[in-house]
Amino acid sequence: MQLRLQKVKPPNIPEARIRQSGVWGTDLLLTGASRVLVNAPSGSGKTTLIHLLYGLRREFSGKYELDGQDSAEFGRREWSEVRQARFSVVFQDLRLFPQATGMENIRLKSELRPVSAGKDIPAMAKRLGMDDKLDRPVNTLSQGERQRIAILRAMCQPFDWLLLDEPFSHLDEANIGFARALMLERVEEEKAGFLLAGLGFDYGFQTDKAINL
Amino acid sequence: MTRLLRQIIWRGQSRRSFVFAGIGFLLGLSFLLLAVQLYDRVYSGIRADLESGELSRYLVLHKRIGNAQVMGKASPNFNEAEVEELRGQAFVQELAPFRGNSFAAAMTMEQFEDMQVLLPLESVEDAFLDTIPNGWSWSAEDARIPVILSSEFLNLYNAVLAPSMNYPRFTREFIQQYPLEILLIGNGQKRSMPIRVVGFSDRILSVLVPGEFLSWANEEYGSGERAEYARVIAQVSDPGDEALKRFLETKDYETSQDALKGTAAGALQALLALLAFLGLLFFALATVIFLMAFELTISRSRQEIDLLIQLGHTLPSLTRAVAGMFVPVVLGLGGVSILLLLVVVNLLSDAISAQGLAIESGIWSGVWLAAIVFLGSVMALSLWRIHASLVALAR
Repeated sequence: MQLRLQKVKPPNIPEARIRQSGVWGTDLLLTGASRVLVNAPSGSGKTTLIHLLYGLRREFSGKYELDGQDSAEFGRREWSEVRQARFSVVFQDLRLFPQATGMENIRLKSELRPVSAGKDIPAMAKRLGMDDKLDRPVNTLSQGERQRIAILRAMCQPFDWLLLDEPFSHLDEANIGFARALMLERVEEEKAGFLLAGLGFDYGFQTDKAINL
Repeated sequence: MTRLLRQIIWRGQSRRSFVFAGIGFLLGLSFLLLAVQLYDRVYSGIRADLESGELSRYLVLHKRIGNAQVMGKASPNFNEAEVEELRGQAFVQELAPFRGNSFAAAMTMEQFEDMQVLLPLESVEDAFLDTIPNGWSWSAEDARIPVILSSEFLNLYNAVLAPSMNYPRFTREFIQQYPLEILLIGNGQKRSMPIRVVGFSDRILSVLVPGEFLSWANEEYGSGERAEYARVIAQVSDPGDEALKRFLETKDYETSQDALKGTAAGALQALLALLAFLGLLFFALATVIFLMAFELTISRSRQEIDLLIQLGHTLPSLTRAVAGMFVPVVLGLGGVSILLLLVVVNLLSDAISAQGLAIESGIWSGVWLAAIVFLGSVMALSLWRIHASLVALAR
């Protein structure tokens, strides 16, 4: 899926930032299966960009197109469809249901649009060292464990783009490596692209494009 | 998936409001359906009779049989003076005495030699008959005697007499075609004459024959015409008239149950109105509580629902999850309500029959329709409100 931002300016980003940005106020074309690193200093609108692409933030000037379709014309149904099958996301604030178990959190996403990867959640969880913690309520897990549940949730659905908003902030080197391998494997399987937004680290991902936000 | 969504949305939510609303809903629906059932099975029948003047405007009066009548110290019959006194009352519009047979009469059938059903023959002025059927006349030259049977008499015969004596049962149509005979016995004579049932009466519980025949037969086989009358029929302006009731009590006269239907209809109307009012009240309150409880649930689960929408869940699936077990529970309550109705109807059936009012058993088809309308409306309203609340949240 091709993403195009045409002179998009969110209202919460200062004009001075926008003038220096390689994203805001410019024409940005992200072709399908691209691997994009977004270097985003604090306050530059990294989370705003992820939310905008995912359709959670719709207050902006300019135009955002998905495969040539203007996102302004999307209704609830179209955004549901996009979130079920076109975008997968790891939010910076994770956005998990704290009372539900890890497995329930994953199933809430994976059962929306089942894929083969979703059938083997325990195996994927094992790769991230989470197989024995899937049945525990999320609010009893550490921050790093919650982050891995959020990553697993993002892996169990079909997608054209994997959006990552500082996905490894609470993981150690080893776990980052496991998670990266799983992500790249799923990106290959889905023939998808990814957009990694962070503070400038690529976490060992090979990217095609780096943009300064 | 819906189950998982339901767990997420309903986790930690109080269900107390729904339990209260469910109880109110069950009571309301039961009252409403009972009102609908009784309206059809009891009230509308009586009302139709009242409006057509078929029943309640005609009273068949007789003296209460007490010890004095049993001991022979007082006559059980009306004499001419008593008939005239009745005729003179303001509430009586028209009045006529029944003339009875002073001989023995029994219905027989050629095919059933043992069969002899004693017939209480009576005659009354034609003006008091429900309808005057074809062939309702008799002269000494006529071999066949026309008869008007009371519908209740035929019911009683079919329900009790026929099975107990192993006699054939008759439909209305069949008995009108069947070759029946009447055996007249008296004054040392015995004669069998063919009779033909020419019509039925809902108003008069008797076996009616033309006056000409009764006069002739009383002379031939009985002790002639009596100057006293066991029963009189009166057309009254208002069967619920207090003056009429007081007069009957004072004189120790009794009336047929038909008269009671006038007052019973009024009481029943009030009962049905009360039932329907209470039913609607409970139903409306329960529906409002349901709607408010759903809105509260959505409000309390606002964050969860918002996140579910962010993950890609659609409003229809979330509506189903918020509604949860509502639809099956409402349908279940509807089923329980119908069962309760069946029990109440069966209990009432006996009580109402004892008051002389007929009630059909089983549930009227209109009740099913009403149940579908009430259940459908509360489900549609609730689902619509849930969806509308979610739409407002999803903006």
